[in-house]
Amino acid sequence: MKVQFENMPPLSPGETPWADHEVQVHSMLNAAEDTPPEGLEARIWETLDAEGTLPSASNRAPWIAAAVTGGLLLGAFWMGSEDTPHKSALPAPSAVQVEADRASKLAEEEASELVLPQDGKEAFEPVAIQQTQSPAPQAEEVIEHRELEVLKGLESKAIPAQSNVNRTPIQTTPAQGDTVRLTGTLKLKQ
Amino acid sequence: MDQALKDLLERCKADDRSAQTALYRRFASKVFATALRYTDSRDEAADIAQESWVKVFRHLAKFKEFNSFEGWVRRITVNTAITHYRRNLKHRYHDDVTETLSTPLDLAASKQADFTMSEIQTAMAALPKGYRTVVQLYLVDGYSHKEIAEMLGVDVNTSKSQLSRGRKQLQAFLGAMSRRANPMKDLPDAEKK
Repeated sequence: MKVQFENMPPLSPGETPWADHEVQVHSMLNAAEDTPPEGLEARIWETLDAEGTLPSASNRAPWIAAAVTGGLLLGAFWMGSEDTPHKSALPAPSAVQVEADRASKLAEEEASELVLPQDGKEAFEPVAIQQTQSPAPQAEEVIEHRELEVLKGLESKAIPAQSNVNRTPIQTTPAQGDTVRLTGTLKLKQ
Repeated sequence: MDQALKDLLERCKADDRSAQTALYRRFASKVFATALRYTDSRDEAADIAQESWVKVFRHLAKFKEFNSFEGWVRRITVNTAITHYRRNLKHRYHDDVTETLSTPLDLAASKQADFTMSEIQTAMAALPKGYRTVVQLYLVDGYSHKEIAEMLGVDVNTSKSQLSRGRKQLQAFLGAMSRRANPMKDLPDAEKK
């Protein structure tokens, strides 16, 4: 058998030159053929067909980006909506001055905002994840909480303003108040 | 590239299943043989071939006509096989070195190459997997040491030493086979008589 060295891969300096048997290995294995198993062809078409029905990675990219953006926006929205009840709870001492219908209106608005993302949950996957973690009952809790606050406000407003007027000078000058009470006690003893 | 293959590839690019079938049947046995060289089992070779063909059809639009289609398909197959090899790698190269050094080398190799395909495949299969992979990549598939080092995630010098040791092993195995087939082959003429 005549060996052909010209097709052999180049060797680095110092490496042993290719031997005849290596040239034969090179040429025979390069030309080797082997019948693949029966089911292989069908498996390839199945895989290709399955991939054809699914969107490719490049096609999925915009959807993934939209879902991530939607998730971030929703996260920001949730953070904002969670802050709002605390903010409205803080000015509670001055709730006496807030009209009942205005407070209930605010509560209604927030309730509707909390429910709103449910409409878009199919388009944005992260929304669905968040909703499974913090389901609708949480929104209901917030609504109930707000309604209680509103009721409290109404009750406190119902208290006559006269008592506040009387108390104001006592709070500004507490030392004088003590003196007044002592005077009254003395009068009773007399 | 012949015109028939060009036409076939164009039809494959248009997702013509009959053309894809024809292309597969034309090169299937070569792809499977290439996959089989890098594995010990026909099942794994079938997995590699399947993955390779899916890649071929998926990326066929990127194939440039001035390249050899067969060479392109083979590169894909070898790369897929190496990915499998690295995934299944359970021992490092050093284990192979120890294993090989304990094997007695028969350096009286065949002076005249005259081996059957079966003998060559048996000798290659007898090499430790690390040596075999480097010998296949360098000697059969024509990759450089730099490319092999990148593919296998090893140093260039490791690739060189693996090739050198693998070649010696191969020579020894083939030499032993040659003598078993023809015990008088390596003896001086005077002793043969």
